[in-house]
Amino acid sequence: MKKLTNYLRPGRSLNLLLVILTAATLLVSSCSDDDPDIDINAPIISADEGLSMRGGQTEEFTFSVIAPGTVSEVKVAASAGTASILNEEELVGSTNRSARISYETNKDISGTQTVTLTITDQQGKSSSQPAEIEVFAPITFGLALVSGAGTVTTTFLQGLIDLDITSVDNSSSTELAQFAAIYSDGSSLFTAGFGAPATMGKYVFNSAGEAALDQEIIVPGSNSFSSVEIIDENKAYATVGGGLSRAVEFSPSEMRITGEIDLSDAGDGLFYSDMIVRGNTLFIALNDFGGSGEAKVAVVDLATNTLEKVISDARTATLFGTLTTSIMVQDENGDIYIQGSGLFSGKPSGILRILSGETEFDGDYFFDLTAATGGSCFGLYHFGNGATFTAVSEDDDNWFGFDGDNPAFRYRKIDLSARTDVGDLDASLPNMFAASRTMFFTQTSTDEVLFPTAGKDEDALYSYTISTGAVSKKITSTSGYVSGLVGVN
Amino acid sequence: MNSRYLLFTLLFLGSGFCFGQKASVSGILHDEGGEGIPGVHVRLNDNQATVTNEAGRFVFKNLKAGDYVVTASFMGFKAIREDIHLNKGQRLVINLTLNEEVTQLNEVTVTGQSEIRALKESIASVALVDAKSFYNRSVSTTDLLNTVSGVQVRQSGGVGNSTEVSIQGLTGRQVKLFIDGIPMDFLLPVEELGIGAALAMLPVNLMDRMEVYKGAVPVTLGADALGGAINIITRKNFEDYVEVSAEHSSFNTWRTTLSTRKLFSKGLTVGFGAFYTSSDNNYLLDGVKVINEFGNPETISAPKFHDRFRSYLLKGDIGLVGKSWADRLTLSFSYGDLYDEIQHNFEMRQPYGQALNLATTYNTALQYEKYNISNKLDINFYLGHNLIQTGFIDTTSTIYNWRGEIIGEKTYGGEITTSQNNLKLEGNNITGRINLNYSITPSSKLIFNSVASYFKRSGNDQVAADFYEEDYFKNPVYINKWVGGIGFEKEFFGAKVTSHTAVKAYNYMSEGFIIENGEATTSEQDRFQPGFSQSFKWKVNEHLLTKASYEYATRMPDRLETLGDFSAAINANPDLKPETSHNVNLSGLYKKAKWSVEVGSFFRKVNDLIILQAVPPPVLSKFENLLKSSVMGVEGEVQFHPWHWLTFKANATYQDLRSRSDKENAGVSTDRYYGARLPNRPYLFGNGEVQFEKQGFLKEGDRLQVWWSTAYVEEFFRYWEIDGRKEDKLTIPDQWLHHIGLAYSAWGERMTLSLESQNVFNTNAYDNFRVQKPGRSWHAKLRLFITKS
Repeated sequence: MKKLTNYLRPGRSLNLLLVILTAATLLVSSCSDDDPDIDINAPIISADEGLSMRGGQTEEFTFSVIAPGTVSEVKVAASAGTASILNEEELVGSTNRSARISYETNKDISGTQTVTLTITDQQGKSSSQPAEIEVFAPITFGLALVSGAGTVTTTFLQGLIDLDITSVDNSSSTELAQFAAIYSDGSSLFTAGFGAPATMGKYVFNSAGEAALDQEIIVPGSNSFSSVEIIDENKAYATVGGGLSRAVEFSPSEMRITGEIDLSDAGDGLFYSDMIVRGNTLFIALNDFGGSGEAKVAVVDLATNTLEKVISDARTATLFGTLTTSIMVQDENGDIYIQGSGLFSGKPSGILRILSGETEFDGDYFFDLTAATGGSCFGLYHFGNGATFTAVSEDDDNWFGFDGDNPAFRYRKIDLSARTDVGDLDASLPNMFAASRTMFFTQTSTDEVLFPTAGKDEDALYSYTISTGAVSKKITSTSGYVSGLVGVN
Repeated sequence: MNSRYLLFTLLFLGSGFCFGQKASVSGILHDEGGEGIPGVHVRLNDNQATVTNEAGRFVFKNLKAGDYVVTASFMGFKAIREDIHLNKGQRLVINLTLNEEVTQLNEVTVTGQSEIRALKESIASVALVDAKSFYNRSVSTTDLLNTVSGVQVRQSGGVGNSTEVSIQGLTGRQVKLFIDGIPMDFLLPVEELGIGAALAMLPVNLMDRMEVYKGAVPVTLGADALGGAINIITRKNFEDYVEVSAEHSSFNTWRTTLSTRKLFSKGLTVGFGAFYTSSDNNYLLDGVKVINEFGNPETISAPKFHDRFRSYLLKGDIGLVGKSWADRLTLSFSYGDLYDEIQHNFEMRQPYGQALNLATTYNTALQYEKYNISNKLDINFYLGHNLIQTGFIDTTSTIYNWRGEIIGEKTYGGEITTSQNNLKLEGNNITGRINLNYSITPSSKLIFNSVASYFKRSGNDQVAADFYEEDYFKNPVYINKWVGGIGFEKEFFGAKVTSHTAVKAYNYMSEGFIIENGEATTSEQDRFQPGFSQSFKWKVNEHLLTKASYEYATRMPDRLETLGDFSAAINANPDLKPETSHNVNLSGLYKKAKWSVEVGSFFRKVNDLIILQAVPPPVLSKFENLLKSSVMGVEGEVQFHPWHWLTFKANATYQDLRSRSDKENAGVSTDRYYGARLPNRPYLFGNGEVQFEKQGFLKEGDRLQVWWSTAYVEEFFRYWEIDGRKEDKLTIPDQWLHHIGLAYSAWGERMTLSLESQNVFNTNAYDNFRVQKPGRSWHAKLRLFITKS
């Protein structure tokens, strides 16, 4: 300390400058980029950036290799999964060549993985280069759960790699800001939220398998989307309810509205419960909550996107459906069946038909569901081979589930052609809140249909085997009821 | 000194105004706790006398130079004497402290305390907000409520917007509000327009104080309050005065008040009050979406364009005071009017451009008070008629975007409702209350309170009738309520321990209509429910006061819940059970001359919560008994007053709200929500304030106040904490807002000009469902107060 103070005395400034310069020189030299460990003659490896693949698959990647000392040995390693060199024989003995690497992952591998290539030349000099590969979880199904209690409930989205699981929860789910039904164009997941303004979200699954919002379509002035029909990645239709008598045509891939269909001539105050496309005609179920005492369907010419007419039938009424529920199906002959609840009208629940090629109700066909099942019915699903379903209410006073202790709906199997009630879908199934919580049937393979139960004691997905009619519990939800299941890729 | 004169110039004050040749003496008389004592007789020599005003202030003017003796006396306090000398033109300020006369009987001591201190030290678990301290500030009633520990006021926007008050975790309808002991919903359109609009019709400058009852609600407040009560005491100065205040602030907000009273020689008193509040509420919203032609949203910032609020009130009273047969007999009248535009739906997703609410109120009341009849009995009687007319107008099909531009027309319906509405409702209410307080012995008393009300409401809506082909609103609704209570209070161990036992009874009869298949059928309900409370107070010593209380509280289903509301698509449910709660409160207050610490804990166990089971309209939703919950919490408040010019206050509340519902009570199929924290409720929050005060800042008799206040709310989840991926759950973020201000008072407090900035750092502020609140705002307020003294 004493010596330092000497340097700081007046007249000693030159010495101080010398000390500073010496120290600075030493400091700079110590920070030189020259790394004595790097040999410029060692092999140089480079890899592409932005690599990605789907988990459970095998992909090929290349590394560029320059080895002035000639490649002697090649090794590859992966942080997860299996990596192998496809052209090792070509590489050994070369000085400039691409290494082709095969990378195989399991279905349960996801996220950022590393494949590292190591080259050793004939002088024993060695270099390694990692390549980062974003491995996307191989999501094949999108699942929606509605979780929460009291008035605070909302929808949670998650991707499933497969359905070989026995239980599901929402711990890895994406929380939405409102209740939403889900749809798919085969690759992405779409949500139609309940609440103003009508908002549709397109969700993609990131590499961790988490649903992430990609784009939105919003229809201002409308209270909600009321039904959605996705034809393919390029064309879909959605109706909006509450103020706007309108259907929109949109492109799922581009997420933009491409056309509009004016439905105002069909009437005011209608809810569009369901729709179905047959050829160039769109049929839209109109729900007037029993006001007219008739079942009404709007017939739209898709060539011109114009409302052609409204057909009605007084044998049943109130085409009641929810965002997640189907009340219109088409059979193998192209005949369309429409289920009316009869709610608020004094009419029975029943099924009407529009024959293939026709745009009027078939006056010769009416399936009185109330007479057949003994109650009012909700929903209609048809998968061929006798797999046709509805749900019957055992207590119309609890149709909307106000009494949370006494679910009133039971799944019922029906025969459309014979117009008969086949009976309980399965006697072991519990009563459920079909209209107030959830109801859908999703075909997950050629022989399997999954459907939910939201009951007093359990929420689950059940399986129905089309060929045998067998019913079994497939997946139990521990975090709320399942409101949707769609296939995605 | 230059800076002082710069400030002086900024405040638009001329220094020459107030310097005269005559001397004066003024000051404040306060108790040992530092609170001003109103009504103290102050004498100057033997030939002049005055009475302190509501803040404890007094003044003698036009005095010659010389020696004087100031004496002050008040029942329950030791009289004091101060010798002073005045020079020519001197404006002397003296602050005097009255000490309690501890040798007197306890009930006399109580009457000798300032009213606020007496309430604080009463057996009730009550927090008090002295509105007088805020007359100079630019604060609203909701701002004041938010400063109380354990109290949270959540607003969806600015002036007059939707508001919810919570006391120690219980909220909404569970908290009852009163004005001078009368349920607020009898007087203002609380049920129709909500607490927010009603509180906006109560300016701070027309209040005396707010009493926030957190534990057992006193029997004198006759209502079925499940989770506490707030009693707003209006201003009743006992002096001749005129006060005018005018405040202008950001977003074109105006608040003006006029209040005056004249006392005539034979006890006749006439008072008049008025206020006008208006705001464009056009503050900037961040993150709202405008939609392009392809339906894709673009996120923008835009000012609110349809959220104007305006209300005014005229009130007057005439009466007699100080008669042998009546301490006070008054007949009062009031007329109020409200206009409230609706900017968006409850989640701030859909903008509206024309929908609005209207309200008009007419109140007439007769009030009689007589205390110490034969040194035993106090009587307080109220009889009032209230007419509340409300309107809901939603008659346009025009669609607006967030820029306020018209972007289309709906095919049918209004902006909010399916039918469109031009709804006019008229509610007539007659309320009677009698309150008796009987001293059985010097250490025991009996309190009796009875409130009966008769309510009838009907309306019309031709626009909705055209849609539904039936005017359902013309069907009348009747509600008769009676709430009675008897309390017995007894002191033990030389008044160190006090016990208060109360029983209450609630009777509710209603008649309305249910819509079924388009037909209206009559629905009736008749309910009776008992209540009970037990409170203890232990005054350990002169510094330490502890309190404990238990209440079995109840809340009857209200009109909306039991009879429904067709305009809101809610059907009746006559089978609803009352909400009940076991409420326990423990608290302790340690108070020294310069500081005090108050700590409290609370527990609530609530059963049969009434919540709306919503289904998509036009199917009618219904209220159901669902969910049980518990609340455990602690709160604390520190006040520090080291010197007369510095005051520090801070409070914090932690409340743990948990579901205690099994699957049957939660409407779900598992018990997973049992024990889970209730969502969308703040659990940690607090407030703080530092205030500097300088008497004689520029000259004698003036005063400068400078303050900084802050409010903090910890981030909380919008949906259940146990659901979903934790990293990206929706939350209402941390909020830490700061406000600064200064007020300069001159002419012996006759004129005050204040400048204030609220949310000075322009922090994004949210409440319910992330609906944004205003950013930084600037406020200027001028108050003139003239008294005869």
